Amino acid sequence: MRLVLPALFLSISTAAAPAQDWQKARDAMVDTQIASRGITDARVLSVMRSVPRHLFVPEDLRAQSYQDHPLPIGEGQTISQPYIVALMTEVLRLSGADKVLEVGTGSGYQAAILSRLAREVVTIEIRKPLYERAVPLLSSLGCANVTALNGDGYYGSEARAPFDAIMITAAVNHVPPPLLKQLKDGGRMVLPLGNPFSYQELVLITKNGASASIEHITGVLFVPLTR
Amino acid sequence: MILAAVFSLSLSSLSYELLITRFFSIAHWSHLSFLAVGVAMFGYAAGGAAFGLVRRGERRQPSSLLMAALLTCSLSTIGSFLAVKALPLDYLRFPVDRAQAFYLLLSWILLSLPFFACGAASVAAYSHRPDLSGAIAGASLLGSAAGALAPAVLLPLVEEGGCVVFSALVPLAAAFIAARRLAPRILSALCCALLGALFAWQRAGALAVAPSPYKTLPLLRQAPGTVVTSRTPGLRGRLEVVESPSIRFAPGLSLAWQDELPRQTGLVTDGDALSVLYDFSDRGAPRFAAWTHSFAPFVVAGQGNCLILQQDGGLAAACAIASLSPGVLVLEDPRVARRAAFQYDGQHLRVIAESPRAYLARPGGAFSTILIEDWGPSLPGMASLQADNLLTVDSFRACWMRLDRGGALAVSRRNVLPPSDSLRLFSEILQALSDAGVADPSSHLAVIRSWDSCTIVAAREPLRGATLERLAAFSESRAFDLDYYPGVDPSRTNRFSRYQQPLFAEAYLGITQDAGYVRRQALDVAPQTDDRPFPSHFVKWTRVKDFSRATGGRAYTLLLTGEIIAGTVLVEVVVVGAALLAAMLVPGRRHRGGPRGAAGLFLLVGMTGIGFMATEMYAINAASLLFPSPGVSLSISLGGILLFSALGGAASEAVPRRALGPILFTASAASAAFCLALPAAFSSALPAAFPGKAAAALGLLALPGFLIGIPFPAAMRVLASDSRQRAQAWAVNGCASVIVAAASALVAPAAGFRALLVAAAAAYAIAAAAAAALQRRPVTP
Repeated sequence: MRLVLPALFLSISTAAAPAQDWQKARDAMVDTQIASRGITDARVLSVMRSVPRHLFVPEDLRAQSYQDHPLPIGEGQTISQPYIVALMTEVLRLSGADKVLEVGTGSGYQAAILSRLAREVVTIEIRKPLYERAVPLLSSLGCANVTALNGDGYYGSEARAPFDAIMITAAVNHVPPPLLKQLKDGGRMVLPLGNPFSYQELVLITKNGASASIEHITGVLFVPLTR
Repeated sequence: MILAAVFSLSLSSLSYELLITRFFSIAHWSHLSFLAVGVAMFGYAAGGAAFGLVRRGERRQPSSLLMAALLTCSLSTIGSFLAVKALPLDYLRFPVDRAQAFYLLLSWILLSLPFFACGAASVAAYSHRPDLSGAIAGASLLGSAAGALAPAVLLPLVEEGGCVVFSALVPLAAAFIAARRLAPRILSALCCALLGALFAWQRAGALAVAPSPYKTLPLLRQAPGTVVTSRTPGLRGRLEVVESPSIRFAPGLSLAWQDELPRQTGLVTDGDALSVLYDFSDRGAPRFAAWTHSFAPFVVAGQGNCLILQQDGGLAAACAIASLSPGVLVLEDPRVARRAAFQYDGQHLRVIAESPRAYLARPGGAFSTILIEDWGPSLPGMASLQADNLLTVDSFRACWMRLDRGGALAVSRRNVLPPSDSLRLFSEILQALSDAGVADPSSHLAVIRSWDSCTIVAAREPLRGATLERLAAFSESRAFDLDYYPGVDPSRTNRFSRYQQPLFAEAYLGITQDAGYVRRQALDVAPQTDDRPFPSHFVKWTRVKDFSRATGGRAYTLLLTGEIIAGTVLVEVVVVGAALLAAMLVPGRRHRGGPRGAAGLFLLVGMTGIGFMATEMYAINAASLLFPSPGVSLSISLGGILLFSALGGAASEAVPRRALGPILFTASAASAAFCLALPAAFSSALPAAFPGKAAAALGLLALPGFLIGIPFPAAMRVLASDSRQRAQAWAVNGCASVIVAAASALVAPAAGFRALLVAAAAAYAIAAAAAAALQRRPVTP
């Protein structure tokens, strides 16, 4: 049952897939899902147009790589909705000279995006199967400035700290104190609030000496709802 | 043979229905467990309809039909469970994988097969022995009552897989005992042996239900060093105790906290909803809790006796210990109480297994601080169909009455956008204070918010002067926003954790200043009461478009919302029910111009189906207030009402045709009286000990249960003219029940459970009128 039915219905899924013109699909994704929703950073838009997202998506879902939703990648993890990836990247305001820490490598897609916008990227994944899948993929895409680690991202990487920016892609109920310590003064940390399958807003933390300010980036999500 | 078969089939199928709810809750998400009602009712109705359509069944011996039904039910129970468990159904892949719709449909059909067998057998029994209609109804309802109780008893012993094997064994055992010929006896013995082997296999975990890979437990398990140390299955949910270095639970922790968190033991229910018990063996361990906003009530009330209302561990105990309160009482879920007492041994903290509402209803001492800990569901929308009597106006009022002078009540919750969850709690507390006679409730409230959660504090004395200054200093030092306080200064809100506009602060202010504010919200954020205890229900059907727009406009979000699932199920059962009835009721050539009064009979049995199901749903919810565990509540209320209905069914054999109308009128009046009297009666039984509460619940359910058990079998016996009409009547009754079961999931959260009893009373009144009309007609030969 486990083998026969998926095989039977895989044909249905792939038959309904759009044409495999990936570049065209990426351009459409950027135009209709990202730029139209207010992402204006030209570098972010350019990188989103160039990184082949479909390579980070499981083969059976590849036809939907550039659609406007997250996709499961196995191990109970997801690759985020393209708009959320772009929004998280934009709010970090990377200059090209930054050292960035990513907590939760997942598929590696976000690290690939960051690698083209930062000087150095350290990405940590606690789940070994995901780590082992992401490392060769990042390498094959020429992301030489990415250091992937297999470990507990809660503690960051003391050895490689401090960081100009930190991106937490895993769900957390509090900001890990070790990560805040490893953020440079004036550095920015972004994390998503909410579940990728549901709806998400972003929390942007800016470190100011001993204190930190927090800003909610609701993106296209929220409009006041009284009448 | 007939009665034994009907009894065992009913026992097996109701037990399996409850197990399907457990399966969906663990393997997928709890709001999908609602599908079980539709699956079961569809199977019952379709089975009855199929019997009516395939007329050959009438000519066969009832014993051979029942034997076939027993074997089919048994094998399809275990077969459907194994098949559905093996299907790669992944609910969260629904919008991206078209095959998932097929898997869901296939699951639906497979799971309905045992109910199909049960439905067909029941109609066969009614058709072949109309003179035994009352006894058949009694056996069916008695079996269902036993089936409601069986999982409550067996789940903790043999887990979900073992219970399914039990459900499959019951009809087989009946087949073995009842078989007169050798072949079926050998066949059923072989099947029994096979199931016995399966049972042994399940002990090795082969039949265990694995949680969705997106849930907390499977994710935690991928982290090195994670161990599940114990597992307690039950109707309330499967609780697993997890040790893992990756468990770090500290919602609402200030960014100013720079140290380590204490070691924690994780508690997950149905593979999700992580909560913890902290390890306080290190004296400094609870210090972190003073840096969470849940500590705010201690800033207001100072040190004093503290009452904590929590389910499955949490942060509140750490706050109470950090506050150095001299006495702390924790009311905990029975499954966790012993473990929590052991974990907190040595602290000035006492843990008891008690229902919070029952404890609060008893006379007793006052507390300086009362903390309610409930962070809400991990995915917004998932818990929208779950009733919870802890977060209602009535509950907050009961807490308020137990506060001493200078005391404070607090509830902590995750922030949800658009602002909804905390708005509802805020307005509920305002309402509770107003009901308790507080002159200016808004002068007693404050809301402290971090980036992801908030605590609402209600102080016994108006918040002003030194108390307010202390609270402001606490918030300032921890970079929390004080979103509301009496005389709130808008410039002091939205400072630390900033939204583009002060969404929450404006909303709280709006609630206190504008009586129509809550009503105008696109989401339903109206205060919940014990009659409508759905703290996570927010969808307004008239504003679904707004809801979708506000949550990103993706189908994903809607699919995660319980109301949408319930709505989809309702549409589905209406369509399927209509198709089944059309197939059965459109007269064939042979039956054109059939017996008079068929329409009246179908109206009567349809209305009794609506009345019975609505009363049952109401009773289950009303009893949930009484008992600490919803599983216990479900078993007692459902088991009780079915038991008394079984007695009513048995008594229906003595009911003459002319008495049917008056009985239906009495059932209607009883439903109405029940509606008026039951909440007060259950509330007065709240302080009693468990045996007293169980006796009260059963006593209160006895009369309505007995009355609603009479009409259907009596109508089948005295009004249905032939076996075809009995099958049709069964199908009409089943379809009406299905539709009500599905509709009740939408009606109760929107209009309250009392609306169900009003519907039941109306349905019985219509049925009584139909009975009176039928009575005036001559008896069909």
